[in-house]
Amino acid sequence: MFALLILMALTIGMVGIGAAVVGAAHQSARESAADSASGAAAAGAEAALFRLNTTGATTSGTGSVGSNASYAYAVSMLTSPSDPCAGLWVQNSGQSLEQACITSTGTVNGVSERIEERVVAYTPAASLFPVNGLMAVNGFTAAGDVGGTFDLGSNGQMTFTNQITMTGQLEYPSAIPPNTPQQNECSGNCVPVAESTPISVPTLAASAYASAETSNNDAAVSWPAGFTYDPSTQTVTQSGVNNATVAFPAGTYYYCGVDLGGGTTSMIQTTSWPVKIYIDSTAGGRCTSGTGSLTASNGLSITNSSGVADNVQLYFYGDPPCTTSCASTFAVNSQSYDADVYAPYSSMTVAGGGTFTGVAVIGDLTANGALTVTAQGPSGSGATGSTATYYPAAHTDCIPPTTAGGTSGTC
Amino acid sequence: MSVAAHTRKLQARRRVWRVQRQNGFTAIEVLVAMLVLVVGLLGYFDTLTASGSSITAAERAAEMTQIGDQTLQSIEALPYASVADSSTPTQTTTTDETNPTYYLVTGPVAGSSCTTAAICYQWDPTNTSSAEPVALDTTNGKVAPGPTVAVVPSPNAAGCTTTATANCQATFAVYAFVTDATDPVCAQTGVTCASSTSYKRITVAVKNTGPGAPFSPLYFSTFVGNNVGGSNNPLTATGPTGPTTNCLDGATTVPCTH
Repeated sequence: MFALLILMALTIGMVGIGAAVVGAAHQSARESAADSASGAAAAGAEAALFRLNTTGATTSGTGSVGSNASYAYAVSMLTSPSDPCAGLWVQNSGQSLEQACITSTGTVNGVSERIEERVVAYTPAASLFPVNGLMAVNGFTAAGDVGGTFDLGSNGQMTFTNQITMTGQLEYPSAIPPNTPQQNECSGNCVPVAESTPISVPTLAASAYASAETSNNDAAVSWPAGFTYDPSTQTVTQSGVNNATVAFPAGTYYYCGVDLGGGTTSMIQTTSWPVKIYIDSTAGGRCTSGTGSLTASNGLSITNSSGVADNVQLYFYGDPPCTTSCASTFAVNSQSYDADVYAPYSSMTVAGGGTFTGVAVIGDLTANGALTVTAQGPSGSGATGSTATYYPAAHTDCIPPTTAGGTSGTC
Repeated sequence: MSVAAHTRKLQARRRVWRVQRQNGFTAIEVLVAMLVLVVGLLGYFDTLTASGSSITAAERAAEMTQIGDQTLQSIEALPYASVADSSTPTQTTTTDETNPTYYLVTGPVAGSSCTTAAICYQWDPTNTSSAEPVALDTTNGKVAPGPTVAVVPSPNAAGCTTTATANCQATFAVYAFVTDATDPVCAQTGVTCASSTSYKRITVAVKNTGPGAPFSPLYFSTFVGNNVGGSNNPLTATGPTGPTTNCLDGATTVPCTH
């Protein structure tokens, strides 16, 4: 009897220990899975944010991070302070904001963890570039072939003396069809689009030039021998300079006029980014009427090895509100650039050939040689649609309800 | 004495003898009981020993989880530029799949984003196309690829360090691989990604290097993006008189803390 009692006690002890062992192992495995699931949930939120910023779409998605860990996320736009999401409603005194809520669930071996993230972005301004390629506001004249992959638009007369080999849309006023004296029509990969109303070109506020006049990095440019930079007039002149290379590091630059001299290989070389060059005439207080040109008497290239044309931006205030025969403010013989150019009240004359990468708005454009354009627009240019860039504002780990189907949890 | 009386006397003696026998144990009974007791005690101690080692295995797994989680969080807290391996991780085995370095490969790997002859990490053991280039930055990188040693000291035992592990209750090897991840959305038609690196993938592996289970490493993984922003970030941009962004707590305007 005594032995049986001892055996019973031992059996109970062993069962208890066994249960404790199984429980501890189970708890340990669950904690490990929960931590891995948290990491997967965070990965899902990061993927969601990247995709939101890249495509602008608020579609849900799933993915794997390996080791049986997966995530599933959803994105919803927030429109009022009462919309539930992590953190508080964010507001800005000067600019409108957009807010979205990312909910991401990570799952590992049946254990799930959920997080919620509020992301905030400035509402993107209307693009300065209404056409994903080249917009010649008042008119376009091409004496040579026109090729490349881009859209070409104008609210005025477009004249093509030679071949049109471009891939993209040719957007012209329905009342003013393109003039093609050689019967070289826009066809095939070139899609003619007759616009019933003028293409709207947003205006860059004069204050942008005034701001660049007040605060700029002009002193960072080391002008080679032969150039004279006059800080009082913000002009750059030259004497007998040929084939000069001028390096512009990242920064904002402001000039009333720049003469880059002669030679076939004059170069504005950008070495770090972004580079913004404002060529003013009357927007700020320093430049006088009739100024505001960037010229080179022969060839000119604007180099940009970053691979992103938007990293180099040129703004010409020009001669508003001219609609015809704007002052010639960007004139060279032949040129190539890898940049965005905004010059709606200026004329660009390319006496020879031109090779452009980026987007541009030009008042009048005349190309006497072959013109090749590769559109590479910034976010929101032309037909690509506006895309805001969101940043995390608040984050919370969701607490599940304490009862099945209960509402006591968060998110 | 009559026969009947003698019989009654004998029956009485037998009753007495029976009573005396019910008050004790035979030698056989004692032996059997002792045998059962010994067997039971052996089983008990056996269970106790087994349970002791099993609990230690669970504790080790818990320690591995804690170490992995802490390592992952410490990497996430780094500035984006520092989220990179500070030295080239090295493959130390080509046969042991429980060694995290087994999945380090030298590119290029067909079908993956590992397109050059650089060191890459296959984050999905079942899919070679998951190989990604290791984010290596010997200048700014703050992530040691490992293996680094983590230890759990024995109770009341001194002298357990990451370099002298003899007195340690448990020892682990911690690996941390940072890779450049390209989001699948970048492969979609019409989508242009500014860089081949969409975000960085952090994979932390913790392997038990002491005796006993767990025998397979535990993995912890997440993504880290470059989300600081600067002037494009409404939460960090400031105007001439200070921050222009604040938050709304009910009807009250408060600073945004994030």
